[in-house]
Amino acid sequence: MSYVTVSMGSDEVLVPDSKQDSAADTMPAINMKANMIALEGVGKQYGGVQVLHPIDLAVREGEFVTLLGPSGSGKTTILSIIAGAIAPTQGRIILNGRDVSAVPPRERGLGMVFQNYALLPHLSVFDNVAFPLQVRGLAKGEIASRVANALERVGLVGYEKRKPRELSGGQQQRVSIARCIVYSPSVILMDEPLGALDKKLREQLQAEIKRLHRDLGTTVVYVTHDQEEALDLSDRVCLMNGGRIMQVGTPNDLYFEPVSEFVADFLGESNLLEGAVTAVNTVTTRDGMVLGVRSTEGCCVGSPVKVLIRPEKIGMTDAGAPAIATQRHNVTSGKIAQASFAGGTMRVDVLCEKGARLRLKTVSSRASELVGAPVVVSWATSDAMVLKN
Amino acid sequence: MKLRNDGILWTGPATVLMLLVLFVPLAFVVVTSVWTPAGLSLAAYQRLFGSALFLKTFWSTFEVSISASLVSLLLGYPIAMHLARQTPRMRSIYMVIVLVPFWTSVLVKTYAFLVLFGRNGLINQALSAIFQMNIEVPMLFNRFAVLAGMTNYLIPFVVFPVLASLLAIDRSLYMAAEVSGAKPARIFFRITLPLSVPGVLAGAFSTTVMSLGFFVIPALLGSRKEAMMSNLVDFYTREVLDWNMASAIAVMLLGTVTLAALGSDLFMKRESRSRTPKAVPA
Repeated sequence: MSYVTVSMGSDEVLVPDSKQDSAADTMPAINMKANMIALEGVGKQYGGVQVLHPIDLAVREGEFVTLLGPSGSGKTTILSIIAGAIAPTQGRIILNGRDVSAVPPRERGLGMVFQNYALLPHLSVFDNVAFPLQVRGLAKGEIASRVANALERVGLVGYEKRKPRELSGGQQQRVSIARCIVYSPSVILMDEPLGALDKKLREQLQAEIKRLHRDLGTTVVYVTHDQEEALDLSDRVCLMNGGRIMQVGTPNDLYFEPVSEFVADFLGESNLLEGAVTAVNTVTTRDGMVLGVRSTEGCCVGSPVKVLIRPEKIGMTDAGAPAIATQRHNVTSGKIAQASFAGGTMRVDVLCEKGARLRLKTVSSRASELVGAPVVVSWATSDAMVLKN
Repeated sequence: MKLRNDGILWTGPATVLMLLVLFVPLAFVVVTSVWTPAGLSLAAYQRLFGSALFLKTFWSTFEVSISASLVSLLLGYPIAMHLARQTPRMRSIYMVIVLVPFWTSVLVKTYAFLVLFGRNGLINQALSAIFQMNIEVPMLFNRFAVLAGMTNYLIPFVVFPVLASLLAIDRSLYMAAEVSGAKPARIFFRITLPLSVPGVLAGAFSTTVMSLGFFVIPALLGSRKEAMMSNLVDFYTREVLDWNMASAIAVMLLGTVTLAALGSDLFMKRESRSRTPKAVPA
């Protein structure tokens, strides 16, 4: 496996992951920072139900790691275990080099941001943000200056005297973030912090969280079920399903090098063609299309596989203009079965000669002129990924 | 639009019943209090305010009621906290336990206290047995006995409003406070207690107002010093046979309770208004 982009600010490291042995040897050795969080064989059972299968996960200092997955995938369980709200049934939690498995939440030195903000309704914005500092017994002047600084960072100067109820959802979440950064915890845990906000606010706050992380360099563990949020914010994403880790890697890894059908399907749109390996770097689909693929390494001839092609990687030309298609390795003709307009881009479903249905994305044009038109679709072999069954 | 005028149909029967069994006798009491053989007069009220017995009883009624309410609050609050921490299933079981004494007749419970607290009651017998000497702690016919009896009755009326307030507190507040380093004592005084104030006030006011009219418990467990206004009414009705005075005291009691209830209601409303500032649009 090669690693595509490692240019996202902080350096990437793949943790040894029970599901993904091959990842361990690809750690870039440059500028290795210590693990801030290490979960070792951590699992959780509730009355005989394994909600979290034993997992290993490490988060490095300053890293932004997102736990992504559908509801019930165990992502919030992991966060609660790190926070100390839930005791794991098995395994150890190492925080900053210290085993905190038996340490109460208040002594773990974490910060947490909740989906419902969790602000104290009877206290003013100032008092809410000052709370963790008062807990630490800081002097009044010190508290005032730190609170002012935190509120400035989240753009809420002048709101000190307001009560949470007098603020909008976005403002309340900013207060909650300020309450978190005000005491500079070594790790900030965020549990779907944007989940209760509408789209526009979500994007705005997302950008702010990204900026804050860049400015402060704090380690962040972020839980979401929103893939776009995860891909945009994270240094690394840990994709979960059914209480197991499906894949850990940079957003690029997950999108371009998914290790399984679940990962491919969860992130972005995908075309998956079932078939079998028939030769080196060649797969024949069920309906008889012979496809050149990037690599069949590790597969035997005859082994059943799925071929993943991202819709945006498929090019489409009119049936009468074959010139461009020749540079591609995979070319097939078909008919447009459906086209749906999505603003600047358009989703087009092409029914290929051999019967496969491929979805692709193209620059928009008038849908009525497209449906039924004969077209040639093509994609590079390097964009056809083999997923082992 | 057609107005729905069928309200009388639903509330009619109860209204008629209340008129007959509550308002008619009440009107009779009011009339009796101002009716003397010489005609209408406020003489009974004049005599009341000149009576040291009435004034003393009036104040002790408040004293006993307020202290019973405070003791109930002190004992009931931890119970409510414990209930709030349970799973819904366990909570409903515990609630039944809280309610069992509440479902028992006051008279039965009060006689039970006589058996417990008597000079030769169970507690004194047990103490005597333990220390091998004759112990007679005076626990009956005094303030202690009356407070014990009243508190026993009042605790559910504190537990339920406080519990409602505690359950309304978002649990993530506790998590947020704990993660940011707060110890249990600080969480209690900074979060739990202030946020449960509405329940505490509701419990305290309702139990105080309820206590003002207590009769059986002070009559059976107290001495003359614990006599409350309703006991005074009883005294004038059955022993002095001065129904004029008895009615005047009853009217005073009714007035006091009504004012106390209205006052606490007003206070609660103001309190809740100061806690809910007008929402600001996003």
